[in-house]
Amino acid sequence: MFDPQTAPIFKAVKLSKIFSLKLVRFFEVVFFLLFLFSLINIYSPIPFNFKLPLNLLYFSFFFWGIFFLYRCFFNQKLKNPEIKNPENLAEFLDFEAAKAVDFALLNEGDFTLLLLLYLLSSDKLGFIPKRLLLDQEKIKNELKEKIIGTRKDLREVEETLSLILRKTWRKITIFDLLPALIETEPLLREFLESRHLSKDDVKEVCLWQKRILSEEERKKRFWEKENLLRKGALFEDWTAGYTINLDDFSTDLTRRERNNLLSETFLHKKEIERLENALIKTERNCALLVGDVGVGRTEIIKNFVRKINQGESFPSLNYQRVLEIDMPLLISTGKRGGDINGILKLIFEEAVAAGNVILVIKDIHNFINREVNVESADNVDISFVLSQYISFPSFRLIGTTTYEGFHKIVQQVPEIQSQFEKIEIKSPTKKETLLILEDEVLKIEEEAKVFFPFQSIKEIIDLSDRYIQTVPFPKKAVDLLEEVVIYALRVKGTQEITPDVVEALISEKTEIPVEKVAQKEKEVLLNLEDLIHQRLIDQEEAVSEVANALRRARADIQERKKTIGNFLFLGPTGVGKTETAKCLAKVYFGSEKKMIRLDMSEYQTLDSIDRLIGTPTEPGYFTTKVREDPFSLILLDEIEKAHPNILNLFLQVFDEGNLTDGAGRSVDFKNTIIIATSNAGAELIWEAVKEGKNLEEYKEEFIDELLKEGIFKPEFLNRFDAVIIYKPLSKENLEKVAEVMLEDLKKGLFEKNIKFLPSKDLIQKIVELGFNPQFGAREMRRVIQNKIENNIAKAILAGEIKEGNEIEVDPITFEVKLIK
Amino acid sequence: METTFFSWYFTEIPKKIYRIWTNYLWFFQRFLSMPLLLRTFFAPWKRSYFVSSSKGINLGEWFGNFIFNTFSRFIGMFLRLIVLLIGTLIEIIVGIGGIVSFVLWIAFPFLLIFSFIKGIMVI
Repeated sequence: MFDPQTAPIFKAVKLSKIFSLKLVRFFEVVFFLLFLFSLINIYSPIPFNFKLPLNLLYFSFFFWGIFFLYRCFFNQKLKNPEIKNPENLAEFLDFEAAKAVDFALLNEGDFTLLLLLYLLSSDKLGFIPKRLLLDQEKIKNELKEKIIGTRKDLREVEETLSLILRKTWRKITIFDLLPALIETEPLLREFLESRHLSKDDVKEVCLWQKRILSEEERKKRFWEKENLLRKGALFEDWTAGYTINLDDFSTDLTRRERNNLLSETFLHKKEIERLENALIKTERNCALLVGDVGVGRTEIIKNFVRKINQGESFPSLNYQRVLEIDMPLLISTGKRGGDINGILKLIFEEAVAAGNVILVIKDIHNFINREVNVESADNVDISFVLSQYISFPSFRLIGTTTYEGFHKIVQQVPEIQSQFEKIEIKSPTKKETLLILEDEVLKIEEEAKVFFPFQSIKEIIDLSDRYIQTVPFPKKAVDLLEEVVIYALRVKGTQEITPDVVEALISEKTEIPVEKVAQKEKEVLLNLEDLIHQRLIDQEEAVSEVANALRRARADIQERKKTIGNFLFLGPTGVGKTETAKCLAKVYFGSEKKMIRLDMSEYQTLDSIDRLIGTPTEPGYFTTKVREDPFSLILLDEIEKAHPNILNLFLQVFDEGNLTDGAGRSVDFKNTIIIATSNAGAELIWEAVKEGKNLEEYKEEFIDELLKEGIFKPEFLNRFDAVIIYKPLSKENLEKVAEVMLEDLKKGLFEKNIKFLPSKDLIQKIVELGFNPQFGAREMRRVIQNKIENNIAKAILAGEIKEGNEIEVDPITFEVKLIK
Repeated sequence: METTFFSWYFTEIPKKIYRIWTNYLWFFQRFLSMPLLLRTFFAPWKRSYFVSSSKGINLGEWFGNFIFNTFSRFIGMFLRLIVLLIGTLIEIIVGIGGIVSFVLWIAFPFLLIFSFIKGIMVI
């Protein structure tokens, strides 16, 4: 049921139209000033030239009081009536939402469109189109045109409101109305879609704006306990011991965070609770926050301090002093005086004696080094002093470390490790990082006078997620946010940071073409086959399958949950398998260096898994490479030689696009192309070619054969996007290969201003000498090196060839001849 | 609406005044750390006290410590007492302030009626 007539909130709306609150406020001020003036005029010891009548004093006081009471009553009570009839949807609206609905009901035309028009004109929602880079006026004009001639259907109102209520079950605000309208109003949906925006984007920006307003409101209520607490407490340290030395070597986090309220959306709530639980225990009351650098360990400590500052933790923790020891200062002072451990002992003693101190040591693993007996510039060991105090019930310490630091160092000192409650900190999700960035953006915008549309914030998260793997969320996103401000101001000279600016920065940083399929890249993608064939002869099927996979990935046709493509290239040696991979890396990723090559014959034993993915203490070669360069081509050479369990490891990569390394971190493979090569069954291919079989038709039979021989398991082969057979090269192919190989030499000489003209006879000679069914075209490279490159190099060194010369090589003697 | 007004004016707002009032009473005792000072009224000043370092009875040392510790406690007591007295005074002022606000709020409509009647009577 939707009945605005009986809903008290609509009565308030009606009343606000009769007595506008602005007018009421105006009269309130006027009468108050009049009252004050009359009071001074009548009772002032210095007589005025004129005397106001006494009743003006009484009446002005009376009317001021009436207007004052009306305003208070209206704002506090009438605007927030209780829901008396839950059947009536109209009662669920808050004042602003009711005003919007009232506007839509009273005006001529479609309800939803009118409501939308009102919302877009509202000052409170002005933030939303601005953040989404939407032209508010344009949408309004379009809406106005569309409204003409439409009719109202009250069922629409009920539908819209019940849709919101089903989700919220609390009062409906204007911030709930807008996202709901997107679901019911196709015009708005189309409009947003045309600008690559989704309803979730609008919803998120609405929630953001709502959060900003609610934070402002929270801070305004100065009489509330949380705001009063920000003033701190005097004399509290009177009952605590002196901490003279400790104060010199520490930062008082309690004082620093006093003015910062705990945000409503703060992250890592569970970890903070675990931290509190650890610190109140009588034994093992020290906590160790273990997580990657940038995962938010410092933020957890800050929020913990805010929580105890606000008195929202356990009584034994509330209002305690949290002091972060300045280890670099302590070490440098200690080195000058010669006794780091002496100072440390002193400050630990003070902390224990003070009775109200919680210490913080960041990156504690840097200061534990049992192997050194002498303190040097780089080696400091606090573990002996720490172990003396850490078991005291009155010694409370929060340490932070990385996984590596924990496994490699802290765990090696059992007397310290056993006293710590280990709290693992996981990286926040993309959604949680968005909340952090929204807060950060507001601060940066104010400081640097820039503007971030919502799309750019999302782009920062998406791109840092995709292209930066060595740093976790939220740090990588926050760092990128800060970098993009400098980049926009200095390089691009703009204050509005659009998604293009973010993309350009990422492209520069990572050398990866991030921009939305730009024209040049489009051409590369469309002509990928031709570009690869400039270097690779024949092998049409292989090239075309790989090219198709890449085009699918770059056009972003579907959300990728796995790698860009996984391919298995089968065929004899020297037919172009590795060359295809190299070409791809160069043409597509920009350089052959963008190829991570693993010789799988080096991974034949089970213990080689450690080298591949690492251990808790040592990073793995392969996973580190991919983390550092996630946009690359991975070449797994001679895959059949790897240990079966290593192949199983790749099943996860092929399926899910990620792999967990030895330290428990997830490594993302979604931006890689994986090419596995194998020459298993090469003799079968040779035979098939000799028998004149069509390789395309023979493929199934060949794969069956490989499975029968147990070279590969079916579940492994099934994971590949395509298994491609490379056919042996014919003599004609090899001649072309030789030409391509000589092309590199020609280019090198051309740069020296020497023109090299290889003759047809020379090419045929190279094929004749280099052709070997066992090694394919590989032997030809050796011939070119030995017979041609060496001779040309000698001639250049002997001064027989000079800049500007034209040369050729004799096909029989391989002598270098000067033409010009 | 009339009943809503009266219930708002005479029950909701007084409750709110009461809450703000108690918040301020709580705030000043917290700001001046009064419960803590009261709890540790007899504790030595800044936890400064000596304990016997030698085994067995050393009368000289014991006497020296006794004098220092007593002195430390007296200093602590004296300073705490001053703060507690100031705190109590502030609490009394805030207490009276709260009662005055409460009375003024209740009396406000009557004052308005009174000033309206008075205004007419003066004419």
